[in-house]
Amino acid sequence: MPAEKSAAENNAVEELAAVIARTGLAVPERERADILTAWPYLADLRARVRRDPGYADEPAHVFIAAGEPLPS
Amino acid sequence: MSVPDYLTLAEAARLIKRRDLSPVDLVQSRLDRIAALDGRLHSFLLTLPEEALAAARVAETEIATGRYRGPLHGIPIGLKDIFDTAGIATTGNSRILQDRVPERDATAAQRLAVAGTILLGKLTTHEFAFGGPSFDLPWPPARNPWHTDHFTGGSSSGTAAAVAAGLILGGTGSDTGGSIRGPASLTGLAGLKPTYGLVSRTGVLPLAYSLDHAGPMAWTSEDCALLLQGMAGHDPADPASAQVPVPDYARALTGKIAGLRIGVIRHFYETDNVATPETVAAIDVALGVFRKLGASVDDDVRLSPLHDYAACGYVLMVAEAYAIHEATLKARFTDYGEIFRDRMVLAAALTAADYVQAARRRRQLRTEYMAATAGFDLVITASAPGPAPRIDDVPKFTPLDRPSLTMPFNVTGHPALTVCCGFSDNGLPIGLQIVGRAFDEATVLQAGDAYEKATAWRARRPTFGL
Repeated sequence: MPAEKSAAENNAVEELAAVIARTGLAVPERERADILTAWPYLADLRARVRRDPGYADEPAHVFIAAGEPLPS
Repeated sequence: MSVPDYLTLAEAARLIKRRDLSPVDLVQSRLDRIAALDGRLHSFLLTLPEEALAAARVAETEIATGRYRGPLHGIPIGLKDIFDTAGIATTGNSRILQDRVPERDATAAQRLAVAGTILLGKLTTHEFAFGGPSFDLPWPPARNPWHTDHFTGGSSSGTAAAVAAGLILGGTGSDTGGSIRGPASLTGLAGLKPTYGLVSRTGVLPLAYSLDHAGPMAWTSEDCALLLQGMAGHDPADPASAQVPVPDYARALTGKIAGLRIGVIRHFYETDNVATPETVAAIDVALGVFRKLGASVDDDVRLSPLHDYAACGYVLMVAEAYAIHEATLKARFTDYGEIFRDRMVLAAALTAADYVQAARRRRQLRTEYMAATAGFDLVITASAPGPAPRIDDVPKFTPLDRPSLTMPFNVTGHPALTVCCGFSDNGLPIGLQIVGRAFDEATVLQAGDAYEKATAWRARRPTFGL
């Protein structure tokens, strides 16, 4: 008898289904279990890029306006 | 004349300049070697024998009539198959672009051609420089010449295998999270990710705009210097291209590094992504060589965990890649290889806020890195946690399982060179990274060259697992 899925695993299944529904990607059924094995990495990635930046902390690549000739 | 199986680019250049080596003989010898060996290595996905021999004859005539262009004249190279070549298919090793024939050369390819290199063909890559090693793409993955059951690393896998096996004397790679340095390390080469913006990416299939770099891969740092000289320089067609002077890189290769200050980021490979004992030992021995050459070595540069740099880079990379491929993924999902497309499903789960937070984190990490390394001319860390794994033992979602040792310098944009610093017990190469200040490739290459000349590793060549 297969082991019961944890709450986190059930959430991952639902989240993957939602991503597939939202994007319309034709992910074959047989590949979904594989993708779910990597799902826990997403939480770690998110935690590591969110380090309580201050309001004024800008992204690394911001737009820098270059000078242009004024209309005569 | 008989041409040795193995020649460095610089050795060949000196012989060609003295007219002791014919470019035609050199090209023919490489074509013969490709015919003999590449059935096992799969480094090329397209060869151009007739075009290459015709170009070699032109080079020979030019050199004989006093029109020598410089050290790349008559040198056989290959281009990773994400560099556009006019009239020659450029596919990214993907069914999506299998029949694509660009009208123009990539800027870097065009510059190498003007410098006199001779293109032997297009070199295999992970799909779109990201998905691999895959067995469901138009062409099979390259094999490691040191042992063909082992991985070359990726994504510039074909360039790595072809240079290591002596099929070409140098080639191009691209590096978004380590795709030059990883394969260079696992196949025992020198591979340079230049500073972001030094080498044009115009005409190079993008993976992630804010992290993509193009650069050279060759047997030695000196060879990389010669190739970089041909590739570097401002290109107004590349929005990230920097307007900086391009120095004479070869002039920096004095063999002397006395007085250089080197910092070592040990925690990256001793605690964050624990390297094999033989890798740690090889780097320790290499640091001793740098000391012996007169550099000072500070063993304890402390940064945020490697995982933070790797996560920041990974979020930016896959989010930008998904933006590039979104429409095609929706229309032709199963025409992509399984590794690429499944990694893109994870990317699709990221949000706009995730991407912006990664870009904010990137600024923090770059600021931290520059402060921590301000007192050093160079920084050293591992290139990979160990030698090449078996090709059938590479996880599908790597590098999520272990934080990348190369990604930090894509995040910060600093130049980083991999050089070979030894071999494992089973005969596979081990590499270390030498990282410099922005646009100071000259000092990075100077240190790599001095290290290579002070050690015997460059004399050892692959045995193809025999």
